Amino acid sequence: MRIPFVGVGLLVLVGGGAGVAGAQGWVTDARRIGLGGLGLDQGSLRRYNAAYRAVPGRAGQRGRPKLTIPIPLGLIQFFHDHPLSNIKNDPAFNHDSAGFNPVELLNTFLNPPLFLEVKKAPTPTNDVVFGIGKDSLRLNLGLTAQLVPEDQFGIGGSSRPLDPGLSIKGVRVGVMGWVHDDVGFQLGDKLLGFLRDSVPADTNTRYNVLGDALLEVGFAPTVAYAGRIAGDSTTGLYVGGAFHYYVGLAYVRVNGDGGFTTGDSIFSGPSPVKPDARGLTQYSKFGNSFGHGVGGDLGIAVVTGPIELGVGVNDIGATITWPDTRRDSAFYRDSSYSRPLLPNHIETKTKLPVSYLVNLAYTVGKTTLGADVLNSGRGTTVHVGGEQRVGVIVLRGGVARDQRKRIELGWGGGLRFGGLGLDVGFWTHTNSLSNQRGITMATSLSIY
Amino acid sequence: MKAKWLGVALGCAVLAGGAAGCGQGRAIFNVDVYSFLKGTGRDTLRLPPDPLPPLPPSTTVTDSVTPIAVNLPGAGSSIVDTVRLIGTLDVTNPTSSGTLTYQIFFASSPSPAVVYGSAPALTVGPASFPAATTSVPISAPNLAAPLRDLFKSSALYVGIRGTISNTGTTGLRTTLKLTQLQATIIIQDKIF
Repeated sequence: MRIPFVGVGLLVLVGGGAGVAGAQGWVTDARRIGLGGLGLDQGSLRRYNAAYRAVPGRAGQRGRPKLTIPIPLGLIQFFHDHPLSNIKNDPAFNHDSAGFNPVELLNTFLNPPLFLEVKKAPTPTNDVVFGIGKDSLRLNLGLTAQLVPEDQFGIGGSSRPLDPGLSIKGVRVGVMGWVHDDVGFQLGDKLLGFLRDSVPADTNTRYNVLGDALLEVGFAPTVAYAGRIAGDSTTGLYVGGAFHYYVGLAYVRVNGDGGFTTGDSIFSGPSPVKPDARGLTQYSKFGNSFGHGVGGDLGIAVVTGPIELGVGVNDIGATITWPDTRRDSAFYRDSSYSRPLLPNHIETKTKLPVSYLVNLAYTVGKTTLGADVLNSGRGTTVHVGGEQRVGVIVLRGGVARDQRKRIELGWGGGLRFGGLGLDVGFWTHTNSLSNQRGITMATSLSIY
Repeated sequence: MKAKWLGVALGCAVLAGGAAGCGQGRAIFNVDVYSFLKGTGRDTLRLPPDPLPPLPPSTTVTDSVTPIAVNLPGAGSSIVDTVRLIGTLDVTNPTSSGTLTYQIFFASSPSPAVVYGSAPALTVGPASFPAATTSVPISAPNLAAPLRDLFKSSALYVGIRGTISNTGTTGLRTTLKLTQLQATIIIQDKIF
């Protein structure tokens, strides 16, 4: 049963599941995890709202940590369970092992074991039933069929890993690093019916999966402004904007369509199925000519006493033009392979996704409550949460609606001693290939 | 090549992802063996074979079909836990009463000498039948381990041999017609 197609399936699953992984975004801060993914501190709000550079810290807020270091308890457990010295023979990774379970492997990918899984989502154990006849093939996945994605699924978004700069009187000059990644898959209608609705395979029919992936990186010299245009420090209106000149260092985009076509008969004849695949790769390597583009961010924030409301939009109009793009194509059909020549060194364009954040925070005494709606390029997430400070202890809780429109919960707490803070956060997730939620415990150390 | 089909299907199954727990994560193949025999004439044994005359009382005749290929998924190194066979055989329009023995063979080679040189996977009978059309059930809860291993390959050859004896007083002629034969192959190999 260890067949190459398992690998194919895995690859597709990686894409599919990755959509799941991206559902709540990658968060390494236990404080934020404890808030159900809500970014309450101004540091995370500044990423999406240019006006927040001017908004002062809230009364009672303990300040922003200079550094937050995740404590990788999950990695310790993982390498204890899967020692590197024996990784080749580890049943979890060796597909020849009788104990190998591709779904478990995928779950490891979807839930990188940085933090401890205190409740693992159960590995699915469905029986899979194939009905086979000379002219028929039917697949019954049982309850698993409910997880077959009907729409496009994938992972993606834009991020700004570095943003150093200098500010003078609200004007900031800096250089921002940017990364945009996007991977998506979509099952063709026929394959979807075969997998999800247990529709029998038909003769002379193509079953396929469409896939696309994009990765581009670069930097952007930036001039930004953020300031209060009305009011005072307790009640004020803040605006911000940034102009970016995007310089693309490298990019690669892959579009593919793979599948198989049935013959005149499902199970007879010399070639009952003919696999085929076609792919187009466009890329501009590091060191090749730079991509160029312009775009901007806008933000507005209103502070009225204990209430804070903000709206930020990023990467407006950010289209990158790559003047020297190489293109490769490949075509495979039933054991024959060709690489049709395409015009090369052409100009192509990519577009950074417009991301936005709408946030609301309410602070009273030692309690802060907040909510946000975030879209960073692939789907919208909603977070609602709050924290309560009691002496050196902070208690947190939150609820989120992830990109799969599932409700997730977060809770946790922290201790702060002088310049050092230790935080722990729990959150439920459906990042696994399962209908049931798992629970992750995150721990992090913050230096203030 | 047939394994390719199943490979694709299985890949797709894996693709589909996991699910809530039910079952034991096994692959179960319900193979309609009869569909491979139907229409080829090899689902039918005419006894005695044409153009021989009817079988005289107290005599026996045996005949077999040319082995036919059945396509399977190809289970590689997996463990075939169970191969269950169920089916129905019709003893059609016998001109006298008699007894029958019906044997199904499986082999990895198409050679009749190999197929019929091995032990039968399943033997129905000896069973008596009247001088009227009768249905005989075929059932094997689990084949022997060496036979189960044959189901790991991507092609399997099926042979059918029938023997009838005339216990009546008139000449016997009949047709043994398979009307259903399904193999359920349970592979103890976690897909999920």
